[in-house]
Amino acid sequence: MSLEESRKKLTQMPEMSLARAEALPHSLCPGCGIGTILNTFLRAMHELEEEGKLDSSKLVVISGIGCSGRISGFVKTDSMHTTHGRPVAFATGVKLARPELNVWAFGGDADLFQIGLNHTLQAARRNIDIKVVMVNNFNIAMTGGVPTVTTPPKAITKYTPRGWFERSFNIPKLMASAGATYVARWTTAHVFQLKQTFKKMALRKGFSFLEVVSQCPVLFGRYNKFRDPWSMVDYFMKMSRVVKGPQYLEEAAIEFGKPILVGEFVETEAPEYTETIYEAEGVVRK
Amino acid sequence: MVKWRIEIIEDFCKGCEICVNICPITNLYKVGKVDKPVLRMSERFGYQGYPLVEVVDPTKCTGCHLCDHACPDLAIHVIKEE
Repeated sequence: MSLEESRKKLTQMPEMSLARAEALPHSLCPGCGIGTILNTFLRAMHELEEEGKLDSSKLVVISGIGCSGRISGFVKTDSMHTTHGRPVAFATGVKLARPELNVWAFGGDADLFQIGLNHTLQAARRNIDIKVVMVNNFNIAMTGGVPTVTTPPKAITKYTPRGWFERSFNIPKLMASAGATYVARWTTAHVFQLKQTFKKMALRKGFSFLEVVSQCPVLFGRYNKFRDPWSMVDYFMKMSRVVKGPQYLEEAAIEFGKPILVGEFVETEAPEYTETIYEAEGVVRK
Repeated sequence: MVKWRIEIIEDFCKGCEICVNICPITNLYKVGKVDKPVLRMSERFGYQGYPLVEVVDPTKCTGCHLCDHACPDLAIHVIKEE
């Protein structure tokens, strides 16, 4: 079967209606967790469209630079592949100009929390209605496995052969204290929970943040005793503890050998930024 | 009884073995509880040079959809058959 026929076969699958078949198979490594996130996102959006709750022509997917920046190229919606660290800044602009759109910003850990940290925090403070998905693969994989702000202490990377000496960010706590009204974390082993969270985020109003702990078998796993993709997914499956509520935020930092807390940490209500600004300016919503 | 068909797009498969390891029936086969697995790694290679997954016994599939949701390459699809 030729590649063209395979792509045609993919488009015939009903749940893959939003996959951009001509860009597939994608350029990510074998077993990369970003593929699982793309897969569950496409399925969630298709299910919402079938239920009549979402119009895929109103869907915008924005991503930054890095491995996770590839996601916007594989979806058949309006999409932008933006500059490094600025997916949230571009998403804020899109949402303010066209408030009826359903805006998603995908980024990696270095994208959203190293170079673009300020944009992410300010968007959470404003409570603007965008949905931010952060793919946490513990390193800057596209640059060749450079350690980053979420690399767990003592982790071995190509650039830190004796172990990483710094502490990592506690991402859910950081976002909760910045004022995000929805903070959740799942791993790539929790595929159905990921799909449900995507559906929930698409329908809720306000700043929603999801951290997906993802495997990076080629550039992070092989230095840390995870030789193949499955061993890292298996580790996530065995080490994760499902929690609910903000009282678990203190212990949410990820370290090797300690349980990974997953679940919904924060779910509150706050006035939404676009609505507030459009009301104050007296502009009628389309 | 509901029947399930497993469709594998072989040009997309990169042989990461996540579907084989996540499948509950194949895990039961590994500990000797069932006589045939649903999925296994085949001897063949795809056009990209990666080893391919093959379906052994689709009648054992329970339709849990874990493999097709977890596939990073959108290569495996579990379809309900009337």
